[in-house]
Amino acid sequence: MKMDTPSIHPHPGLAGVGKSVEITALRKTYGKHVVLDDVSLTLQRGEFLAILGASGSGKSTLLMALAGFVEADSGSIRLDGRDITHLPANKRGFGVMFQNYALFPHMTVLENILYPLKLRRVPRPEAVERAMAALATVKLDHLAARRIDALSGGQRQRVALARAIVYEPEILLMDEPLSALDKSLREEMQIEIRELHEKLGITTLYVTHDQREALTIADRVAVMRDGRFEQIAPPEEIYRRPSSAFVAEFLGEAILFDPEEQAQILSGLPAEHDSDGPLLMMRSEDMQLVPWVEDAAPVTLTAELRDIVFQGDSWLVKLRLGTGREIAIRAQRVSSSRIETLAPGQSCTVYLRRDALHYVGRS
Amino acid sequence: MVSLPAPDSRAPLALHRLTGFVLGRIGVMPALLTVGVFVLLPCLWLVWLSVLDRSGALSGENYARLIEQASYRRIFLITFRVSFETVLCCLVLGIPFASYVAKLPPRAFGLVMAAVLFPLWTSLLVRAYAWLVILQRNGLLNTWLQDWGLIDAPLPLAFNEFATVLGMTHIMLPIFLLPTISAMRSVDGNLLKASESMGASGLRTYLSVFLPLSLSGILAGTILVFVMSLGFYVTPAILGGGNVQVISMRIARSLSTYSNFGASSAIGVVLLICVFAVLGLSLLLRRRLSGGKETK
Repeated sequence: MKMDTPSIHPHPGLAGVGKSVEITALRKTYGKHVVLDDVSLTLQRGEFLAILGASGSGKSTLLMALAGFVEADSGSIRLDGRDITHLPANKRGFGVMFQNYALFPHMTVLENILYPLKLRRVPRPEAVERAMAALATVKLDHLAARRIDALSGGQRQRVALARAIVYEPEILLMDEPLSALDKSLREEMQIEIRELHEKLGITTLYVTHDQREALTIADRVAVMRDGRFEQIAPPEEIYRRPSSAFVAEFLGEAILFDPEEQAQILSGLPAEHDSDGPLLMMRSEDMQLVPWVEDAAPVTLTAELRDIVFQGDSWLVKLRLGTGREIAIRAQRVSSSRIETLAPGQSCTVYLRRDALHYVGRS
Repeated sequence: MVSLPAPDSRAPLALHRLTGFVLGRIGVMPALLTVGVFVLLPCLWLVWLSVLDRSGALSGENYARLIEQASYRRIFLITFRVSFETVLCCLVLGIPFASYVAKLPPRAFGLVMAAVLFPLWTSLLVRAYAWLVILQRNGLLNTWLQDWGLIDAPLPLAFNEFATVLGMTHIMLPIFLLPTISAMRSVDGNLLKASESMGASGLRTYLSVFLPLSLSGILAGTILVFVMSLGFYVTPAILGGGNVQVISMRIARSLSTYSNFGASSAIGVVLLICVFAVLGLSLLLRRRLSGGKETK
């Protein structure tokens, strides 16, 4: 399925800093395998777009095509209206961050960052000044003289970032830059990259397979599947209003009910669709074991409790539906007076948040 | 490359640590013994022989002769020159070739590597004579050149330093290529892409990223070729045709013609010292390469 590009929400005050990118019907095949299936995408000036997809979905190929390392079979890439489809990588002037950082091991941190400035014939004093400023931006100016192999993973990632922005590229391409870091460092870096983007306003394309990262970091998220986009939308929209069952299940925990199941187990919701109609999607955190205060007329289902596990911010509740299917929900609230009385095998009422109800197409 | 185990700088070793050391290495004892008996002992014996004169008394006359007689100096000079020229040819031919081969896809890479290694299975002697067939006065090359009318008289291609270096390069090139290609193949392709993404041309990327990162392999190949070239015998003997006198030939003549063990041992010892000097120098260079830029 192909989506029209929804309206864009670039960051206020940033438009006009980076350049815009327009990808039209880009196609790439390896033998019979279609990696990019006529992909079209427009990046607004200064926009931060995350491409989310499983491995083999074509997201990295798209990034490499944009960087100039993969020659597409057909289609075009335009930078602020100028055709750059056949421009070699070293003439594009993009900043690229590679998955393994691709720092030069035979150079120091400072020399790594000076490298692109040397290529641009920036005079040495100015180059050093700019390199140190870039290092200060990523809070690593005290490590300028270090060799790369003496750095931690997080530090390498920062050096790579400094090297990619030091020559003020108009486009920044990032290929899973955080995938090698541990979870807490990754979350810290997501916020930092986000802040850096707000400061610099470079049009950024960010490839990741981590849905939480994509939602955290980007203005818009594009979900890719089998070489094409399933949906492109701002994070909240793509999370709450996914266009297909695939997107719903790829982002977060989705529970899908087909029309037949709806009719069978849900109460409070009139049957609207034929049996081959769209699926009802609920996020696992939009179901709980007490009524939602804002819902006057509750939508409920009755299920058999299988297990309940306290996880701090929520309870993981495993349920068996009347149809025999087992689901897991993340209840924010469980009736505290009843918590001791809840035991496996018992029947209980599950309340579905009405404004979270959403129908998605089958995929 | 030879690497010695790091000696414990906080000597002397306590006895129990020594026993522990020995016990922990029982498995390598057979190998160590073999090296000791068949390499170390003969070397020491060689040194011993070199300091004896013909009557069997301790003397420095063998070494004095090496210094006094100009012919010995010339032989050392020629040997080093021929080895150096061989290394140079290997570098000039080998680096571009290795750079190309290292980027080939696996199947083509395997085929090319088989072709590179194939000459190693043929005898040195056969290869030297093969070159002779090509290069000699009425050999293939001269015949063709004359038939085509490019030259009037045959060129002096064989029995000189040119032929020797050509033959030695032919033999040493695969040995140069092995460590070089291996180092080049392990250069991360993303580094080259990163360089290009920052605006570097292909040539610039090759010179500033690819070559520096392959340097360890190139250095290993260079040292290997140089050290092995110092000891060449068959190729200079055949293709030099007596016009290229190298150390190993002089040693052989000392032994076979004069059966003078003292004199030949002394040449051998000096050659050995030269080889160690070259190895030591390369070790220093490698250390500089890997750690020289560290400032912290």
